[in-house]
Amino acid sequence: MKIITLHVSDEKLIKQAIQKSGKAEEMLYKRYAAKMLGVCRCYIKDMHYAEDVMIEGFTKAFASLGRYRFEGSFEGWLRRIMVRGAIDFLRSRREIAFAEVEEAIGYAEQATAPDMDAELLQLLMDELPAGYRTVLVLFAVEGYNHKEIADMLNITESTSKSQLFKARKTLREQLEKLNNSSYGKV
Amino acid sequence: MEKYNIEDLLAEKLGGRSIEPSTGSWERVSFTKARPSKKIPLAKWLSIAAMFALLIGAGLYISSYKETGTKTPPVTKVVFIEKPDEITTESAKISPAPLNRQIKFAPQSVAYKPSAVSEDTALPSPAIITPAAAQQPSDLPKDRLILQKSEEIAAELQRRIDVHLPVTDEVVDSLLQKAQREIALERAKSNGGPTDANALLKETETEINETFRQDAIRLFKNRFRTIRIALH
Repeated sequence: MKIITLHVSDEKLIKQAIQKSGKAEEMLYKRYAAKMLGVCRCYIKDMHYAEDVMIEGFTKAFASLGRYRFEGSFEGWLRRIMVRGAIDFLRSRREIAFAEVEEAIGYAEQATAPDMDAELLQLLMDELPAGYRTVLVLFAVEGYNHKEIADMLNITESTSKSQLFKARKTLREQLEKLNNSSYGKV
Repeated sequence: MEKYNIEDLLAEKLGGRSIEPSTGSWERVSFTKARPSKKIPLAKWLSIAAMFALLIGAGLYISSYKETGTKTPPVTKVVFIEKPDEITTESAKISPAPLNRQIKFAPQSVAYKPSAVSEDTALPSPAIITPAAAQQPSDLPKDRLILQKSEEIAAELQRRIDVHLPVTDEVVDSLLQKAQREIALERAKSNGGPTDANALLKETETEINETFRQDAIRLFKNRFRTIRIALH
């Protein structure tokens, strides 16, 4: 006899998890753990610390599951928890430091790396200062605007913009260096 | 080579990325969930805060009570409150506590022989001695002259203390003897008539020797608590 596991919706699992169903919580965890670890890894260089932050994030999510209003996706709700957890972690280790720099006019940086592996790109991101990397990921990957980034990081909008500009510039230089070393001068 | 927007590149490569967690990660989540919360409930915080407030309030109350309740009123007048110690046999110098009153003395024109009295023990002529306003004990000498001389001796002793001169038995005896002679002379004068001054002096001196000495010492004991004389 073949056992087919029916897909259980997130809503049902969440309602069961609110009732303290361990099985539902485990299913939710297994459904979103990998993606959430990817989110944490964008901000935190060390994989073990990133996993710790992810586990802490799930613990907080299950504790405050009653506050989830089923508005928007559960994944988006979880991501916000993970992002806040990652930023708190970086703050606790004093890895995030923002110096007030003059406002820079932002423009999209162009890169020539279409076949760039995600892991390689992550390694290049890891070379950036934590402040640059955080703003870049929040803006580019998570889709926050500068006002939201400024509120989250307790900085000004102009600082957020200048951090983004510097992050782009540095990453572009790294990509070009990588391209030149791999493919020779074009 | 095509150029890509960096932000689009990041969103494409890192946005939907999945990284499998390590084995046993779910057990860590369930263990962390089961662990009791380290957060102290609000009620407990409030009770701790209330206790602190109570302790601080009690401390402030006690300290303010100590400042007002036990504060002694300032001493406006030094009154001889206690009798001095019993006369001891050891020869001691007079304690240097100063007399806290002004002493007035009406100078007498007395001719005295400075034989046994060294210059620094001479009675100061312009010294001002006023009797203390405190009650007089009943056993004080009735004779005004004796009282006067006793006060002069006390003033001289105080003066010696103030200028850090030694006050020994010999000095006190010397002063007492001098005072005795002066009293004797006064009495001899008051008896009137030409008489043999020396003989009369000697007679009177002997008579008053013991009584004056005792009276003087009693006066010192009763009225000048800061002067403690050790006599043999």
